[in-house]
Amino acid sequence: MAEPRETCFDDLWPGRTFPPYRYVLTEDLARRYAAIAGAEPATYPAVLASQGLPLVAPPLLLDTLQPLKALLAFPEGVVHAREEVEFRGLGRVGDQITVWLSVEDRYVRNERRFVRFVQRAENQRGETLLVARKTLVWPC
Amino acid sequence: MERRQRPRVGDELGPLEQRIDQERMNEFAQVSGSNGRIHLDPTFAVPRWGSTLAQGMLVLDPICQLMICVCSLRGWLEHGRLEAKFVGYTRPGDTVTTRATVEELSEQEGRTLITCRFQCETQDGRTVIVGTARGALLEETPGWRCPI
Repeated sequence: MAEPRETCFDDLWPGRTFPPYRYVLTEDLARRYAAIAGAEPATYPAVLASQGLPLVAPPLLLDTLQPLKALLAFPEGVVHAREEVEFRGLGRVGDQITVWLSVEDRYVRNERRFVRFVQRAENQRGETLLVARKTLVWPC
Repeated sequence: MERRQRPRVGDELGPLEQRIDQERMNEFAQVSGSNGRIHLDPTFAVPRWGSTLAQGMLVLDPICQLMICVCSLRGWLEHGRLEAKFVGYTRPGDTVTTRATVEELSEQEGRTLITCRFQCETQDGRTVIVGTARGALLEETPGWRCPI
C-alpha cells in the first residue's frame, strides 16, 4: 500500500524498511519485458530452450521500479542517477517473488537530493536472485 | 551457435544499437513501473527537460545482452555484477550505441571472471551511461546472436 501523501526526502531516512512486495513472475510478463527491452526479443525464449533452460526473467526484470511505486507515494520528476546490480540466480516463470526494500543512504550534492535504495528479490524458497542499489535524484 | 573464443583483455564487445522512441518508452513503462510523467507526458517533461526522457533501465539493457553473449546466460544471471552511472539524458528519437571493452580477466573460486568497462552513446556523440560489468565465463554455449 502506497503512503497517503507524496513521499519526500525527509521521509526517506537511512535504515528505513518497507513491507515486502510480492508478485508472481508470469510467462506473459517475462515475454513482454523481453520483447520491449531486448534487442533480440524474438529469440529470447528459443535461446533459453536451446540451453535447456525454462523461460526465465530477462536480466533486469527483477530490478524494476514496481516495488518502489507500490510502496511509496512516488513523486513526479525522479531522475535515475546510478544503478548497481548483483545477479545471483535465475528467476523462473512461476516463481513467487518477494522484494525487500530499504533506504541505504541519502545525501545532498550540488543542491540536489539523492536517495539510495536497496532492493533484494528472492524466490519462494528464500533464495536471493538479485540485489540492486538504485540512486535516485529526489525532487521533493 | 558457435562457442566464441575466450575473450582477451582489450577486446571490444559490441557495438549494440538500439533505437529509443516514445512508443517503446510507453510500452516499457507498462512492464517496468517506470511510468512517471517525466517519461510519458510531454506537457510535464518539455518545460523541465526539453523533452520526455527515456527510462534509464531501458537504455541500460543492452549491456546485459553483451555480457550474456560473452559469459553465457548463467554466467551473467548467476554471477553478474553491474555498476552504471547515468550521465546524460536519452530522448525519444535517439539511437544509443552500447560498447564495452574487456579490462580484466581474473580467477575466483575456480571461475574465470571477466570485467568490462562500458559506455552508451547517442548518435550525436553524447555519452549517456558509463559503467562496469563483471560476469563469469562459463563453459556454455552463449546461444544469443551475438553482435560481437
